[in-house]
Amino acid sequence: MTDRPKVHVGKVVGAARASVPVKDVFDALSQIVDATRECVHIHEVESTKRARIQAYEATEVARIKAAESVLKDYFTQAFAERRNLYEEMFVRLDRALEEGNGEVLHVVVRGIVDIAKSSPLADIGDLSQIRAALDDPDQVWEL
Amino acid sequence: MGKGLLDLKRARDRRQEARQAYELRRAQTEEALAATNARLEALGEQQRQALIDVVVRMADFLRRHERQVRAGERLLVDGVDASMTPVPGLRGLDVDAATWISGALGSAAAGAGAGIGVTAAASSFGVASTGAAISGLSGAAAESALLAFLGGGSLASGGGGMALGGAALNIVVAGPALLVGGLVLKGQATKKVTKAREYEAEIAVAIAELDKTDALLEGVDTRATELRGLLTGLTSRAVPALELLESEPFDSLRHAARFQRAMTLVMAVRDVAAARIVDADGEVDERVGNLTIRYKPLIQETQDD
Repeated sequence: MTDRPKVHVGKVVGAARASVPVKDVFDALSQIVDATRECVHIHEVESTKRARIQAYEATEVARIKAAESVLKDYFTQAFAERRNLYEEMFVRLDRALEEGNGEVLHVVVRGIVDIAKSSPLADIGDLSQIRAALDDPDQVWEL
Repeated sequence: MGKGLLDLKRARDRRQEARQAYELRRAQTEEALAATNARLEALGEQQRQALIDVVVRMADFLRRHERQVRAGERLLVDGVDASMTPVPGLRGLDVDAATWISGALGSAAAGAGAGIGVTAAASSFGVASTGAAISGLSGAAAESALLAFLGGGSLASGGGGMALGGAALNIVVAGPALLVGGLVLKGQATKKVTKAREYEAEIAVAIAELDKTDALLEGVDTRATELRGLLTGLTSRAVPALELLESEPFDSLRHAARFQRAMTLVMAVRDVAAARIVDADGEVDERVGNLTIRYKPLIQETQDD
């Protein structure tokens, strides 16, 4: 591109330097303000959500853990008691066999079968029921 | 913008870590489930053997002595199934990737918008130092005139010229674009961090549920061990009673006591072999919590009626 004299007689655009950038700066500022406001709003909303999530997690995990703990204790206790019962009953069974006592044998064997048939797992389908049962002083635990 | 990107990366990392922790924990429960299944299969096999060694043997004895035998359907423990929540968020990650990309595109568009506005305004309103409207120019002439316009006019006319115009264009375009883009990205990242936190919470709850499943499996294991012990104890007493009963030709008058003893023990073996893991009156497939115990019929016996 060569500079020819006639090229330099054009109108100088001094005003453009003042008006257009100001408008652009204003637009840009508006965008920045809007974006900042939106960002602050998002931060507030999300902070609330996170606090709610934190509460949900703490509550739900504590609830499940409590149920699990109840379940474990219940199994430990129930199966241990049953083991003791079985041991005693087998001792009596062997004594009845030795003595040839058919009546006692029958009673003892039926006792073993009755306990065997009643499973400690039968009523724990819903853990919340267990918790409710534990909270109920009138609840009778059949072992 | 860097903070937003860092937050996004952290959010993704947190999700991945949470998912890995869940997968690791779930693998442990799968192992426990497999072990419980092995125990139940062993119990099923022991039930089958006890029924054959004791109950079927007694049935054969009765048939040999012209007594009628009626045998009900016998079920053997077959195994256990656990319904576990699928790994949460695998699909969610894909969706998030899409949202992530759209977020990034969104901020890029907002940033580009500010710059395009400036150049468009200069093109529309500016006039080149030659007097021609910039919008009427094209190619290199238009670009030179535009840069000179933003620089306050050409050097010859007392303006900053193309160099300053170029700098102004960069500031006007890049400044707000980066700021707005960064803020949009930061907003997206903040949401992603919440999503990651939500995912972590879901994982924590899912892991707690797995702990509960493990506790149930332990209960099933103990129940299976209990029944195996009982079957062993009763079978080991019933077999000698049957052997004694079969040791000499059966005389119903003389051997009534032997028969009664054997029959009592045989019935006990029959009933304990039929005892369910969960519920005596349960369905064929019985449930406890999220576990389902499976049974299969014993196909072996013949019956008289």
